[in-house]
Amino acid sequence: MQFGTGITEEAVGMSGPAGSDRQTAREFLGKMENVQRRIVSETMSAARDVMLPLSEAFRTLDAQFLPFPAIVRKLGRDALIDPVTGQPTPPDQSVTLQDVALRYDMRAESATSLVGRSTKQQNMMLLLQAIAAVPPLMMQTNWVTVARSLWRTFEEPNVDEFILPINPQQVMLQMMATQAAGQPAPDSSGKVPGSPTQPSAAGDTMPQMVTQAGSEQYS
Amino acid sequence: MPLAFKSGYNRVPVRDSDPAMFAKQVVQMVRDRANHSREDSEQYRRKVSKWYDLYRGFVRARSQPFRNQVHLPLLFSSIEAGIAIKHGLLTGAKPFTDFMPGGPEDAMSARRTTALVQQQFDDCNTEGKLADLLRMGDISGTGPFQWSWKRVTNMRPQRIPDPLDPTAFLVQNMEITDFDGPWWEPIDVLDWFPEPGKTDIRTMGWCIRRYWLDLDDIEELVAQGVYDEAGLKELSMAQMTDEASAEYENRRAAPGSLRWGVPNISQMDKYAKPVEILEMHGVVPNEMVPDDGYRNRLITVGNGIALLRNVGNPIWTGGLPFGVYRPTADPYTIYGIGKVEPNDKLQATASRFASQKLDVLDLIIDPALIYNQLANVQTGKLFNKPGVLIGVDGPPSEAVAQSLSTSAASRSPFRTSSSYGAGCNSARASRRKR
Repeated sequence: MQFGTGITEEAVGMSGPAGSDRQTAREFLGKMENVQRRIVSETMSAARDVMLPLSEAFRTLDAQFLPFPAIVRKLGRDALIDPVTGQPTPPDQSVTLQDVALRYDMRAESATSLVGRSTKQQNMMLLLQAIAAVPPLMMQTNWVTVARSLWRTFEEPNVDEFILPINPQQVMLQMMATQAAGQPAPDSSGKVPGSPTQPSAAGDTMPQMVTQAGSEQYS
Repeated sequence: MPLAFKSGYNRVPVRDSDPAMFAKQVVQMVRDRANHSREDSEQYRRKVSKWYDLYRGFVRARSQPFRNQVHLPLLFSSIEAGIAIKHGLLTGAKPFTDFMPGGPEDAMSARRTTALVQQQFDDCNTEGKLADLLRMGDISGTGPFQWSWKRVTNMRPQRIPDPLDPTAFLVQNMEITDFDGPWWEPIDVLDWFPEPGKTDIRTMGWCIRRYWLDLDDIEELVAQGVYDEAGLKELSMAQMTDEASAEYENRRAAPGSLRWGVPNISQMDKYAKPVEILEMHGVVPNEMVPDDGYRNRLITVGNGIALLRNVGNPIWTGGLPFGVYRPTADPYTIYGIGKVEPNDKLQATASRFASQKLDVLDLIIDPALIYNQLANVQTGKLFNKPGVLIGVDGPPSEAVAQSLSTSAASRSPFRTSSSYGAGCNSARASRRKR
């Protein structure tokens, strides 16, 4: 029946009787991963056959029936700060026919984020190191967004408690001002002092962006 | 009794010049198509009720008071565990779907559309409906759903602040908009009649859905111009057809299954006036195209006799407003494979096996005895307990004997008891002894 349904004890986080007497964590995780493949396959099927067609149907129905301009009201912290960009949410959030008349590529956001929590955190740290190793990329990175994503990845529910609401454009101006004052040269490893791996360097703008609480993340 | 019309190619009826007869032709077409779809999937539809019983643990067999009837909720546990994971993955974070721009110039539009659609998903309770849909898919292998634009307004009193006196208010009857937006809902697979022979809704020419409305609601829809008055008159002059009544009775009589929807349960009300609605979306043969010239149509039939609506497809995208969720798709049919179908025999066997083991244990505890009626055996005292004394006339071995040997059976239940719940040890058996 386990083969038929695809659900084993491991799927629900239990150690099954089929395991060895001294089951290791690796064995357990391996079985869990195998079970998840089937569940993930079914989830992707649901995303492909339900969520995406529904989203497309809603968009086309909006294009036909919705009176414009329509205003989407947001409640909570996302009403002030855009959760993705980290920028202040513009006051005018009206949707027009121009918005919904376009055809978009779509993805089921949740179903494509099937990587485990700890793996996500590891990936995030690797990404930070990779960005820090490329100074031009670091300059072009929206660090407020990165910081917000970082806090979310580490499961802090209220990101705004950790990050001061600074407009990224303002941050960019500060960075440019810092550069004009004389940016420290890259060290022998190619890293620029003030990058996320070296937050305590003088003249760094990162502590301002991630705030005092956030700076602990990098120490 | 099907109506006889003059027919053309493949005996498709030629359009009648009389509007009333043409309406009958259209009604007949919708009924024929629904029946065609039902007959095509008859075996599947019969099994759906059985699968639901296995999921719920409904036992329909006649029970005997001396036999155990145990249902091990193995399928139930598997399905619910799977749904919890899938539902969590699909709706665990918002937005559920992300509209991705083609370039930077579309970025803000895409984000606004994402926000709008997410809000509309929330408004129509997508999370709850999705759980139902996933459950339907796991039980019956096929979870159809339909989308549309829904607008609901109701006249009711409303308190209005008095502009002259902040402590006072006025009461006005106002037309309140309760809902105005895109809508979707799962459909009972027994109420869904897709075009046979197609494995994908996008390639289907037509699709029919059945539901029930109250006659009074239909009158309101006629007043709003949604349905035709002629259809309502015809409907009012007749009762439910035998076909609809029989279907309704079948659904109601059987416990369980997917029949306990609001439209069906309302019919148990003696003062309800249920009308069976068949709603067909899709193309019609040229012979059935009215003067407006649109082949792609929306046709509504009441109780299988009255044509309530026959209009061009009101959704401009042109496709059928249906979708279907299948946990495992079958490449040869639109009906998929759920969790119950491949495991129904195992579930039944496991439950039966558990019941039989309990029967054996009961026999061990209370064994059947044969006694000599001339030995003055007091049968009311034939129960074992510490220190019990049972007196009989003559040698005891000639007075009482065990009728059946349960020694072999008594060993087996304990040996294999651990194998029952392989897969779902946490599941607890619900025991029904009758």
